[in-house]
Amino acid sequence: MKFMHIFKKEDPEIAAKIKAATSIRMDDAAREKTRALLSEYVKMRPIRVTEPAPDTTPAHSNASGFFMRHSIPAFVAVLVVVVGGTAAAAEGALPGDILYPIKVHVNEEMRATLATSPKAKADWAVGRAERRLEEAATLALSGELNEITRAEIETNLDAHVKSAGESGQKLEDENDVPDARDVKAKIGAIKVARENILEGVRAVKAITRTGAAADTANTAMMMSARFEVKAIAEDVNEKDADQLETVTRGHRTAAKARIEATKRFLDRSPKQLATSTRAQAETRLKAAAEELSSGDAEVARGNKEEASSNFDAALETATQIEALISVSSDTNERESEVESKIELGL
Amino acid sequence: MDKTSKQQEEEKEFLAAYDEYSTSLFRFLTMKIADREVARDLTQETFTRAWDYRQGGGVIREWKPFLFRTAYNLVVDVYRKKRSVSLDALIDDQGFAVSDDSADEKQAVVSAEMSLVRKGIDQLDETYRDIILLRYTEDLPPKEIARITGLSENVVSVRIHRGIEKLKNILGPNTNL
Repeated sequence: MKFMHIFKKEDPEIAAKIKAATSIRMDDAAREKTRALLSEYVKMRPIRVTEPAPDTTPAHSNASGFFMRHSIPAFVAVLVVVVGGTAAAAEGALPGDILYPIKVHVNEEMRATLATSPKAKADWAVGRAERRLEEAATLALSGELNEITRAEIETNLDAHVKSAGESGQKLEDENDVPDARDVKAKIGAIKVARENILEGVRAVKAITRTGAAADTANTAMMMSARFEVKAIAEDVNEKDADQLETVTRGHRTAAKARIEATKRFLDRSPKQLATSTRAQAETRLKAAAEELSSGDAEVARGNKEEASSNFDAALETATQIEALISVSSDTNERESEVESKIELGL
Repeated sequence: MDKTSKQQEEEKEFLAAYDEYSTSLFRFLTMKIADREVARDLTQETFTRAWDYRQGGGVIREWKPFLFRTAYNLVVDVYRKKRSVSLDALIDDQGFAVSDDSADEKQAVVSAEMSLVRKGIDQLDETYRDIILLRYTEDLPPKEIARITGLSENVVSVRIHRGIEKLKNILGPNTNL
């Protein structure tokens, strides 16, 4: 039942007074400067001419930071004009793809040059680390996270974490305690998420290898998710509020990376995925996204415990998807092997 | 449509959204975090994220709720500091003007009343303050506020009502609220 009708009679005088009392404007010079920067920014990052995704999901934390405070160097603009098309295409590349080095070493480095303050640099380094985690989760879903791609991701992750740490140290040196603390927490969250995604992949693979039958899928899913959450929880001293905050943030980061990776994986419509598996994955994806969104809403309301619970649930649900897809792919591979053996008369 | 004209059209739409909504976004962010410089950075970041989303193939049907939702999430994700400066001090200290064209004496009375209202808003719990500001300062309907905050429309409506009641209680019987 809706209750809005009770409050329909809003006093216009109240509205006018609150509006007048909170009237604030950005000064015109600052507004124009920001407009000019944004105008340059959109030219740097041209729209891809493809069919748009039919969704307006909130642009949540693909964290970057408060960059672009200063004018963009002309040489960067020239570089973008020259390599613009390739650079845009490279944004969707994964480790192993031919355009991946352009994504990491051109696009992301160029964006790093726009971050001028230590905080902005740290935020972008954390953002890059999150992108690596999302890539790892995407590759894991399609069974392409091999030792080479894993090593490449881990090397880049180490570099991003190191860079964020250095910027965090600068903030400490400048006595910017709140920002330094924030950066430290974000780095901690990346480490937690990294363990969940990169080590979790091994756990899921190990579990799915031991049982081929589809009816083991649920067990595998639950085991893998609980294994990871438990392992992470045991790594920290639960009495320490800061560490708990770090774990909560880490679970959010990991859940988000897994959710984004699943969206990407399902968008590619992999043929090896059975219709029923795909439907289950989509249902769980929706549930995970809702749990993540609820967690964010609880954070906004200052309810840390509820937020943590929601992020844990989102992570568990998102991890279940990977186990589900791994079991399905594993079963398909085995069926193919059996069919091949029959054909060969073995 | 060829690639160049598509890009130009998108740029034009994006900058038009900036012209139309940057002031209200800046205002909302300033009141939420009480730091003018950071609010400016976050306003800029909100727009760059919106463009990144669009550039990545996303569709933005309605700019205002999308931008507010992005800004709201940005504060939650990136900027977790609590407000440390009162709204009244922020507006006075930084020379923001209160919109009123009345004569000096009347202006003084109005300014005092506005100051009182700001102090009252400051005392509201963040749970109510954000929603009151979105409703009355930014003129957003409960449905849009629900989409921005992740709450249900019913919860938003209840909080608007309770927030106003709390504000009246804070300000006392002598005010006209």
